[in-house]
Amino acid sequence: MIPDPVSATHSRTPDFAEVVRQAPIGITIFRGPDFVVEMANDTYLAIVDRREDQFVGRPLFEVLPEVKDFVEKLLTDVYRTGSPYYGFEFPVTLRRHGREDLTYFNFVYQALRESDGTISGIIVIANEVTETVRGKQLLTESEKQFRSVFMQSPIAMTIFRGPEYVIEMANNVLYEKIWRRQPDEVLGKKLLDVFPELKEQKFPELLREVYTTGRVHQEKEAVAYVQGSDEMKKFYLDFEYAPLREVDGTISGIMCTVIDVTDRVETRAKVEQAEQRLRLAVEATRLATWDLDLTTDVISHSPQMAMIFGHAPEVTMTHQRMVEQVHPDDIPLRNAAFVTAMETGYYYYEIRIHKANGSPGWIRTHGKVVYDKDRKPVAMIGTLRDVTEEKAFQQELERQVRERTAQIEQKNKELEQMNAELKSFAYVSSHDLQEPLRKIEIFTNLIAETETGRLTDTGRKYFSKIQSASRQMQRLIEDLLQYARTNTSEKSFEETDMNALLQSVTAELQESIQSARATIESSDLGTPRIVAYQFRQLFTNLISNSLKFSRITIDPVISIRAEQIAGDMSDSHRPDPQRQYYHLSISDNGIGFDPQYSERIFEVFQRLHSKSDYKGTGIGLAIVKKIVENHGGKIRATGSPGAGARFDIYLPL
Amino acid sequence: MNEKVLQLLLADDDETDRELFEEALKAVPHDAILYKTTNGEQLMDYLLQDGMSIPDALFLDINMPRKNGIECLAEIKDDATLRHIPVFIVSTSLDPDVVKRVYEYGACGYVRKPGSFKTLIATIGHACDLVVSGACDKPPFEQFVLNEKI
Repeated sequence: MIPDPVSATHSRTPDFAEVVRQAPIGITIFRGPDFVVEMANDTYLAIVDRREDQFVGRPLFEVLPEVKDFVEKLLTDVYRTGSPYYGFEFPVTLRRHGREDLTYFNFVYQALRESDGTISGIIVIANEVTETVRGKQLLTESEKQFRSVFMQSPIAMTIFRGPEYVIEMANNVLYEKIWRRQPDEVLGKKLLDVFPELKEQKFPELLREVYTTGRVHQEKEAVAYVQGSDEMKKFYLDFEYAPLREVDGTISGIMCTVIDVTDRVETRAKVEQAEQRLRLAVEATRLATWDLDLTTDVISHSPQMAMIFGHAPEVTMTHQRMVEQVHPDDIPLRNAAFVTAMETGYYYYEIRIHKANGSPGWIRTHGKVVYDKDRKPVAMIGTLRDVTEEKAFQQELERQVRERTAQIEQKNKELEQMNAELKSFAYVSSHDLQEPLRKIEIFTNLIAETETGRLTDTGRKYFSKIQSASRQMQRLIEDLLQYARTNTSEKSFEETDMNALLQSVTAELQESIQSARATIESSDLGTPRIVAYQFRQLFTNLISNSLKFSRITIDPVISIRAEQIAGDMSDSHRPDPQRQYYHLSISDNGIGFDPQYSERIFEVFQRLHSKSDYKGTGIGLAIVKKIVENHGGKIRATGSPGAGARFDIYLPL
Repeated sequence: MNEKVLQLLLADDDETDRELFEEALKAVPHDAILYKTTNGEQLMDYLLQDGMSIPDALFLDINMPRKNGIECLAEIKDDATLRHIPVFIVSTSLDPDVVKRVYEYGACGYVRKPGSFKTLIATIGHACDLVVSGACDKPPFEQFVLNEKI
């Protein structure tokens, strides 16, 4: 009888082959250069998902062709050289359980030698570590993801390690926006070494608290000053310190998350400030604000509105109540403003009201129509102001203006009247005064012609005095009239040949020039734009003046010259440097005058000499001055006694 | 030597001036009859009456009550039947503006009432010469004032 070897060994000490078969590690043996599977234990068979009868006894790459690419070279090397090969987390794609599986193994290929040392096979001991490797990979992956999320997070984050808060990691936002440092400036360094300014702030205390107690600290809008590589900057930060614990629960670090809310806080501060200012302004101007719902006709308003209408601030003004307080005459005005607002979108009126206590007042409103998305007006918002004082002031001003206007009109009338009187004076002097004078003249002449023989010598002397007195009076009247006319002359400026004009004047004065043995010399006088007949008068008067005040001892020489000259600020007679002036000078070698009279000689009736010495009415030079002024010009007289006189005339061109 | 007796009409409110004019006219070497009115209204009434014999020349004082010489001149020059009558303006004053105005209205000459009787005679004589020679239509302006330069 043959004993059952298996049961026999099984029951007692199992033989080695059985141990191998049951081992929890994959074991297989390949023989020969084709790696014929000599044996494979259960674990190995499970790994490759093959049955023993399919697997054992056949070349490896026949039964497991999918591994050929991965291991053939390794097996061949081991078979050839005898050096074992250790694989660690070695990837192999296996076709098992009906699919291709990427699997990982820790294994050893060990050469099997015959007693003579030749290699006849390879023993493979393999442990599948696919799960472990996958787990590791997942871990790495999630760590990568975590890092990426951490670094890219819009929320600034950092991790401080140990009780001295060594900066272990920090993300981009923190680097760029808050710390304004490069990673290599901070990583691995103590927080308070990198940012010593924090020592002065509350943060070290808070970190210590979190580190020791393990309680999370959260804070909103904390003020922090952080010294970046550029400057010290003030931040408002929402932040959290959370403890990081080891496996055993001890605290080894702090996770810090920070949101920079500086912009938000500052914007809010600005808005608050603006609101504050507006409120102050509104209160200061006592401006009421209101809005009117056009669909319900309900008005809501600030307390100031009620006060403007004379009520206590807490009174609610209804539309109805307001209308009742409007001056009846001004209701159409307000209604018209409303109609206009519906057309233009802009509401404005100024109307009278009765305040609650019955006193009159003025209000002014500005409003804007609010439209819905269909451009349908839905509401009006606006302001309303008490303009009673302003109106009173305005009315007072208007009253004063009216009063002043009336006064001015009155003055104007008086002036007009005076002007008319002056005109009629000129007329009276020209006509009515001359009338009797002319008759005196004509009859004295007649008597002188026909009756002179019958007069005594004394009579004749007196008679000639009458004649000369009446002639003097005639001249006086004519000159005065001339003076008055120069004042009111119409101004017909024309380009005038001054040489021809002078010539005609000298021709007219021929007799007196000759009898005075006078010489008149002139340069080219040009053709300025002037009123010709006035300059005829001017020449006549100035030449006559020179002839009159000539010296007995020498023959008079009168020089008349003209030039164009630029203005000069330092000369009050031609003050505009931007302009050209026509400069006319008339000088003589006569008796001259005392310079102290250089202004007075132009005044009416100002005579420097007694009538018996020099004849004249004392109006001639006044007329000259007036003519020059009519032309917008200036005249200057210069001279000294015995050294002649000189008149300089400047007309702006 | 004169073929015709001139019929002259003077309008002047001043009695002395009318007398002086009449006296001077006697010394002028023309046969002339002088008709006199004392204001503008009277003058125009006379001129506009039916059957009036049209004078050979008119001498109008400017300054007259009711209607002055310039107004009369304008009316005369506006009237088809009177327009051709030579008109001399006579005045004490010599206002260039006025002289220009009456020249433009179509007066034949301007006489400034002179201070000498001789001049008066000469001036009236000159005016009569102009009338007789028919040189009254638009004289040159320089010669418009008969007895003075303007």
